[in-house]
Amino acid sequence: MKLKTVGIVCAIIVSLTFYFVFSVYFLPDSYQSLKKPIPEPYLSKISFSESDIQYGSSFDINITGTNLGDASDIQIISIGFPNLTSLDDRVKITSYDFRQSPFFIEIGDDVGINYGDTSESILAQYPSIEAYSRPWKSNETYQISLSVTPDKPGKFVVFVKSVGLPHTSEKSHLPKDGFLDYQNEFVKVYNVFVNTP
Amino acid sequence: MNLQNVISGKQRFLLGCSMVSFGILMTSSAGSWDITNHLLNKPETFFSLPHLFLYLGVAISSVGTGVMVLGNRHVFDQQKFKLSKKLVLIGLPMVILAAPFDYFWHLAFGLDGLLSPSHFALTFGLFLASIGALSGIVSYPKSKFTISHSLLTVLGFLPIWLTATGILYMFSLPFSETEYFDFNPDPTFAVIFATLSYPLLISTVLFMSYKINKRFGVLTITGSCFLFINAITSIFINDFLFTTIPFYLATIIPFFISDIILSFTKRKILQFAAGAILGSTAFMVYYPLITYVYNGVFTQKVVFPSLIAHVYSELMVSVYPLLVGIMIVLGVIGAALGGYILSRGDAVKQVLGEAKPQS
Repeated sequence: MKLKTVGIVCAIIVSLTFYFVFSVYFLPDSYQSLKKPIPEPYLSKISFSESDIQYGSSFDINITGTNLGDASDIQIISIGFPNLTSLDDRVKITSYDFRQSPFFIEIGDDVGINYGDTSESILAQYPSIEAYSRPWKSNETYQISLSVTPDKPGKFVVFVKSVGLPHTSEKSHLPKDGFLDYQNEFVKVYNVFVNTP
Repeated sequence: MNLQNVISGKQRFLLGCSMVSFGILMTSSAGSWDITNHLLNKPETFFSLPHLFLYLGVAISSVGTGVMVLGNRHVFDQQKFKLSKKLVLIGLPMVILAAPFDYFWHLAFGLDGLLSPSHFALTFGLFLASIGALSGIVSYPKSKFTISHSLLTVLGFLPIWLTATGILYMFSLPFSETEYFDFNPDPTFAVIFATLSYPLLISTVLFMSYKINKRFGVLTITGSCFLFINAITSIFINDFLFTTIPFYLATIIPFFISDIILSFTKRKILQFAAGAILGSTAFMVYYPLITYVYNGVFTQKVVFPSLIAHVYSELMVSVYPLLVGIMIVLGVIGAALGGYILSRGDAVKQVLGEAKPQS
């Protein structure tokens, strides 16, 4: 009887030791060494209907993005309008097939910086549209089309970028270099000339 | 031949309680799935698959309430089931009223967070009704306390555990900031609250599940079912967490050991030791969502769903050793609390029985 009790006590001690060593040290250690996903955003099409327009008319932007890397939790295509003060009546989404509805970001809205590597944020300095899919799996492709009406004559600038989150590598953003925006993220710069009537 | 002729009033009452418990189990499991679905897919419509199961569970519970009430009418000693019926009849209407409230909250304020008035009313109503249903199941005559009846108590305990977890999540997870409201708890409060309440809940529920049945295996089955439900609704559907399922299910080991201790000894100190073991598993049982609670104070990273396992394992190595002592103490308190609740329950039953004898 006593031997049976000793046996049970020993079995309990061994099982608990195994469990806690396994759970607290062995498995977390192996999970920490798991490969982190590396999303690779790619913009397969960025087209502008016009490069030169008359003041008061509109032009269309069509952007198609793909994820060439691992599945991302969130992947964003951002289209910024540094010449505009508001998106109202100036930028209209004509079509999109993203999983979620695009975000309209106005001046003063809270936005992330440095590709979301930290939880820091900054106030938006110009309006933009963020089209995103959550999640955006490998090799999935999404598109968005916009109609834009510039509010004054002159050079009308459009910034385009795509970011995959989690941002685990330099591959997780596009473009890889070039012009840095206020979020400290690289953007492709496009110009449309708006002629005075 | 109608139902009334086939089974007795007491059996119908038991069937009703079981249906209420099953419905709430479905609702609370769907609620857990819904939290993960929001995290992974950010649904933009109220009409999602988790919501369908959630309200299907409410419908089953409502039918169960009807069966329970009809069954109770034909029960000779109605007084015995009074508390049970009362709790279900308070809880279920709260849930039913919360449903349209939840829908209109969605319409008015868009995507809602985890903690909102409608979600709280829904979860608290489920919690009350699940206590009522379990109370009805355990009030069934002791002479009929068979293995199948023990399994029914497992069915009764699971929704209590899941709905109570839902309430604790509301006050500890940072998922309640929306465009219009910020109901997120302060990160430090959330850590303290989770560290105290999670182990207390696990220990209380599992200790009671053993004590009510006094049968080896019930605690392990109850704990394992909870782990399986959480694994399916929170881990399995996140591709990146799939490899962590063995780690998660390994928690069956301490449940099994606590079950052995409670089954083979009646010594108080060893019963508290079983409670201590149960309390110490809180950090594992509430994986993966617990990552968001402790990250708010310790790692302070942006926790994307694909990185949960990385952040959690970092917290496991650095934070769990600091908290395990507190969790053990809370586990002991949970066992004592479980014993106290059961003794109070017996006292209430005795008082009710003596106050209005039926024969």
